[in-house]
Amino acid sequence: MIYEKYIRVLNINLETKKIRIDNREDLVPYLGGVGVASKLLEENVKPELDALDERQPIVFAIGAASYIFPVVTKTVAMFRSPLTGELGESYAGGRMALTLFLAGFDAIVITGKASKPSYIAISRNNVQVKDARAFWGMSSDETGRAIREREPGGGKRSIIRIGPAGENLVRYASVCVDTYRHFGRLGLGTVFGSKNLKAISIIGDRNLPIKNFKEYFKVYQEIYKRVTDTEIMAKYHDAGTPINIEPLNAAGGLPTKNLRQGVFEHGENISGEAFATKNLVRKMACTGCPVGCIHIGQFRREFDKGHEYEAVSVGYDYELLFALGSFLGVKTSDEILSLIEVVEEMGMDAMSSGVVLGWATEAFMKKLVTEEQTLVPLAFGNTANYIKALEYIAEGKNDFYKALAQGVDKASDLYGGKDFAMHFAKNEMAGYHTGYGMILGSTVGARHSHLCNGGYSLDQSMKEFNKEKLVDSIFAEEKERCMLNSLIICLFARKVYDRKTILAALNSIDNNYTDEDLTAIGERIYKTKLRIKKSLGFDQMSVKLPKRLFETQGLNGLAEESVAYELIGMYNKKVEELMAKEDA
Amino acid sequence: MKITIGVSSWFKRYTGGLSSLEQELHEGETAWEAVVRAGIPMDEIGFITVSAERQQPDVEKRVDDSYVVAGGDALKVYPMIIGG
Repeated sequence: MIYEKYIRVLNINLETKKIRIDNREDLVPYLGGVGVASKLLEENVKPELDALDERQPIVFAIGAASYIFPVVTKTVAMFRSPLTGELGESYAGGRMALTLFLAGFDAIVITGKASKPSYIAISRNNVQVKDARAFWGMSSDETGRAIREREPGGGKRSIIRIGPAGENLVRYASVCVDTYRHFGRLGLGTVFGSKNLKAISIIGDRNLPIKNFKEYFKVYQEIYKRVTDTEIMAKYHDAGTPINIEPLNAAGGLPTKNLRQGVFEHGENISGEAFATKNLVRKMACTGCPVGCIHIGQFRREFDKGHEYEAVSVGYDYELLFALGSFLGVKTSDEILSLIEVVEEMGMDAMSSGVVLGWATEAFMKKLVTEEQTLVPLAFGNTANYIKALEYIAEGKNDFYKALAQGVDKASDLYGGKDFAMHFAKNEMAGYHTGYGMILGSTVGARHSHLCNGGYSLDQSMKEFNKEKLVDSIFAEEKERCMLNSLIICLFARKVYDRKTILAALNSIDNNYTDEDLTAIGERIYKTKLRIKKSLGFDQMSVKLPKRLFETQGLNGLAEESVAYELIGMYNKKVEELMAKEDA
Repeated sequence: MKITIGVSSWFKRYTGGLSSLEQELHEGETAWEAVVRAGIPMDEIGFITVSAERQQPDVEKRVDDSYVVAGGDALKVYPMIIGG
């Protein structure tokens, strides 16, 4: 809590409806964000119970600098992932961090299961568990609209909610935050569903005077200037992350048709430029961010015969274009937007959804599954059938789609095709077939995401491949990002927030830390995450990588399987050394 | 002798909206130096490809910063991949 030496935690038990607020001095060494959330998860998670057992917790936390400085806009959610069975960690922007901060809470811990579909309404002086039976079955968009009409606080409010996929326990169901942002990965929406929790509404309306305004404003302005007046963030606002399609496709690093190819022959039609020219209608920003990297695209849809059309708007970024575009051989921007709209409505992670369908398509082509199971003939580029398949996954149409709803690892356990089931430790791959950095980074990353340590970025910047250097860089970055995510800085702005800037920002609000303190905090958080992963049964030495990774040329040519496993072994030694070391 | 420098869409902001331009060959110049001379900021370059008449005109090949350009080379420059 700003200017206080404690972390203020709101505890909500959905079963008993009991609410408790703790001011936790012992959590201060974890700074905030992922540090505090990791510690609270460690305290509350039940390793012996299934991820969807009602006694498992959901933890949310904002960071030590949330909303106070530019581009520090995210909230972290931590939970036991129903997709991987181990550490669940996901981030979302929107207004949630602002409202939690102005409601006076640093973290929330939710346990238990409501006796009927419910939503939680949080404000500064009141927390209520309310009846959501009327919303059960609604899409996330409809749910947001319904709660907006019922709850006060417009303009100072954040509404997070799940769609039918979360209710039906699709293992990669997402939580939609304020319409265009999501806790996308690893199945937070599924855990919501398992608790009969449809939504949370948070109103933040306190006024918080800054103490040393002169010093604070000086630091704020310097950061603001770097964010808005330099080229560092310009790409994110301009065409956004979709500009990645063009270079990745040119270099052979764009996962295409279930990674049978690294180059998409229709890449030009789904590039950032193509979307910007044809579909882009609006740019938006998370509250507290001057960049505006959220790109909204529009497509036209016929809703009735006789030339009856509607304009549909959805957010898009690179990962969605890869997963629901090149990975499925979908070759126009309109078609990709129509697929994004379905995963939005159903409330599913777009990346996992696309990768699961890529596997299903190849399994169908290879006759591992029949049309009796797939119900529609799945084929790369057949958008109409992919729309049906996404809806079938969300509703659990038959045994095959129920298997797809458990992720590509589980589906390939049941039907075969493990060699082309594209996941890292059960989390479906991200859109970078760039080389060893991506393979190692995703395997050993705490949540098996490309965002844990940016391995894909090292594949691009490292001039000469060097095993030790790659392992060291990924290890260092993993720890550094633990520190960054304790604040919680949007990782797009990580080049703006160097150590000097972070210290200046923290010191200006009376958080007097040193460079060594930040290093120790990052390490402390990483160790906490590693302890949780171990308690949940994860062993990175037993991870099996899909063969396809080593059969398709990528950005840096063909990777060798033996080298990838050697790198994992080298990384594991560093982890063991870290865990044997006393906390600083 | 001239070389051609093609740019990906992001870099059109540095070429007045043109998707490619021609420039005189400077003896001994590397592909990266040629691209920077054309106005592309060094720190924004991700990689450069070359399709060379003297090699295979239809094949784009990624080159490192030691590649010395020759007359007839068609370079294309791409930005760094961005993301979290």
